[in-house]
Amino acid sequence: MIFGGKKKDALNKDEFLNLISNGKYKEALAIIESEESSEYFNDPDIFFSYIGIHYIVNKEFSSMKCSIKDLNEINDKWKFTGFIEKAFGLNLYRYFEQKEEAIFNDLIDSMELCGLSKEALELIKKEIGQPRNEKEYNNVAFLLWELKKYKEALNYFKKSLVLKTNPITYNSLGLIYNELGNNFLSEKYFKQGLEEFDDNITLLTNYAVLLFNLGKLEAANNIILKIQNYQVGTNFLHAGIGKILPPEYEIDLEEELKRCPKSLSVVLEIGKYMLKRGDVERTIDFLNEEMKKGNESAKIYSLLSYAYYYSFKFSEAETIALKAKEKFDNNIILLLTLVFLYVRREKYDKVLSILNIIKEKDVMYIEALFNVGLALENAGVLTKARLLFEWYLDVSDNRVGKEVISLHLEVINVKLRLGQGG
Amino acid sequence: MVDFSELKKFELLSKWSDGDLKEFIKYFDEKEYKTNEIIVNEQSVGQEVYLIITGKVRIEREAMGSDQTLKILEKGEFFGEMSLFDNYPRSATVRCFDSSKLLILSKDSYEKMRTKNMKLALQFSEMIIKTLSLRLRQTNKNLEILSLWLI
Repeated sequence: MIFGGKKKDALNKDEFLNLISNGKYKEALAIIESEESSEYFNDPDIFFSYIGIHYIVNKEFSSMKCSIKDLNEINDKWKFTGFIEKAFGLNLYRYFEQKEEAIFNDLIDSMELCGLSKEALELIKKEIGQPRNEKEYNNVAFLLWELKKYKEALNYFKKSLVLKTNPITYNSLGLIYNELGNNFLSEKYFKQGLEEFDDNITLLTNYAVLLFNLGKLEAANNIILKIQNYQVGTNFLHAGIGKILPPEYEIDLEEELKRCPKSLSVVLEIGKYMLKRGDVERTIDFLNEEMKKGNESAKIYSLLSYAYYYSFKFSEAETIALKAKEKFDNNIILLLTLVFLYVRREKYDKVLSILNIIKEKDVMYIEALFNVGLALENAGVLTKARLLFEWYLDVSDNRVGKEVISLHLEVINVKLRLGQGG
Repeated sequence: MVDFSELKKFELLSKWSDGDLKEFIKYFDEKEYKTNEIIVNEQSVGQEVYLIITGKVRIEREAMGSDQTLKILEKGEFFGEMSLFDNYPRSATVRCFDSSKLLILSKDSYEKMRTKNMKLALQFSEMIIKTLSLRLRQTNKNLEILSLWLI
């Protein structure tokens, strides 16, 4: 037995993870610590979530051990999924238990994400004393910035620049001065950064936002045109560019909505525009208001679900998509929204049930699992390819396709055992 | 020798009349390939379109030092149709996945069909357009699924 206490009902993994998603760490800890069995600690989701929240609540590393292998693979899989507590737990475990020093910077990043900036600063002081290179100076600076210790943050970023120039450092200096209202120095650092890293999209975007706010519209527009020539692939950048689009666009749409208050397409366009700008809360309020007026469609529900997702309200995102799925008779847009949510939240068992419904609607989406799986396999993204192939085998009725995929799956499993691909 | 009634079983040709199918098949050559045999080489110049009668073929490209599978096609499906309409080299290699029987239509035969039986050539072009359109639709679905991972 690892923990004390009496055994209660079997641990409900979903309930445990939902408590963590909603920030109820103490309640989640209580569930785990009342368990007699250690078998749950073979489940990476539970084990590393536990390690993460244990530190957040108690401010100390739990010396629990697990037999989970392939920590690198888990780390790659969890990147950008939004599960900050378990990613934090994984980093803690790798640094303190596995003694992987190379993970230190990732650990500091994840501490910042979990709101432990002060503790991260103390850990840096304890583990390495003074920063030794520009990356460590930047780490300290980001933490100080998070704690609103602007002057100290600026000093560390400037020391980092002396050691080695980096677009992130210039960008941070520009943003801090902007936050402090010193547009002159803000502009100076963005410009300086762009002299050296002239195609850095983050610097370009933030510089364009600053110029737009300063009323230098022509200069801002020139940068936007430059950015549009790049392939822009993240919501962050979309949001950045959205914020510097001419405001008249929004006013026109709102006028149009006054003229046609029942136009679902105008409601959808305004909602999409707001979300693109990064105004997530405003999008949610706007769409909810319009829906109260009866302006409802599958696409509007889907957009609302995405807006909740991007504001980290995951259970609302799921609830609204499920409700709409019933209301609009398994509309494909809503089914795909649910697949998106479940993939991002790693609720893979739920993905399967939705894929089975999608198969009845449009089997091409199931064939897409095959095709995308092959593309990911070819690109060496083997764990994700394997997941798609496994879904395909579960859902597809295509006998030939399944024969082929079975062969590919065998190859992938061998490669993963040999440590190839990610 | 392939009988026209075999073609009738394929979805793309199922609505053609017996007379049209009998005429259509005359323009094709028949060839059998063994497992792993290469039918078409990437970057080679060729102006033939292939219809799979039996077996399966693998569309592949060489990248990062290995042959990567792009798609598996099976009986009733066409490949190489782009070469009838453009003069670019083949965009991928096609290899027999298992022993297969194929019907081959050369550009010359297609031109003959156009001269002798315009109605048949139009029906065939329509079928190619349908195939391309289905592939485009499939590509769109692929992108939607891919976006779940990347955006």
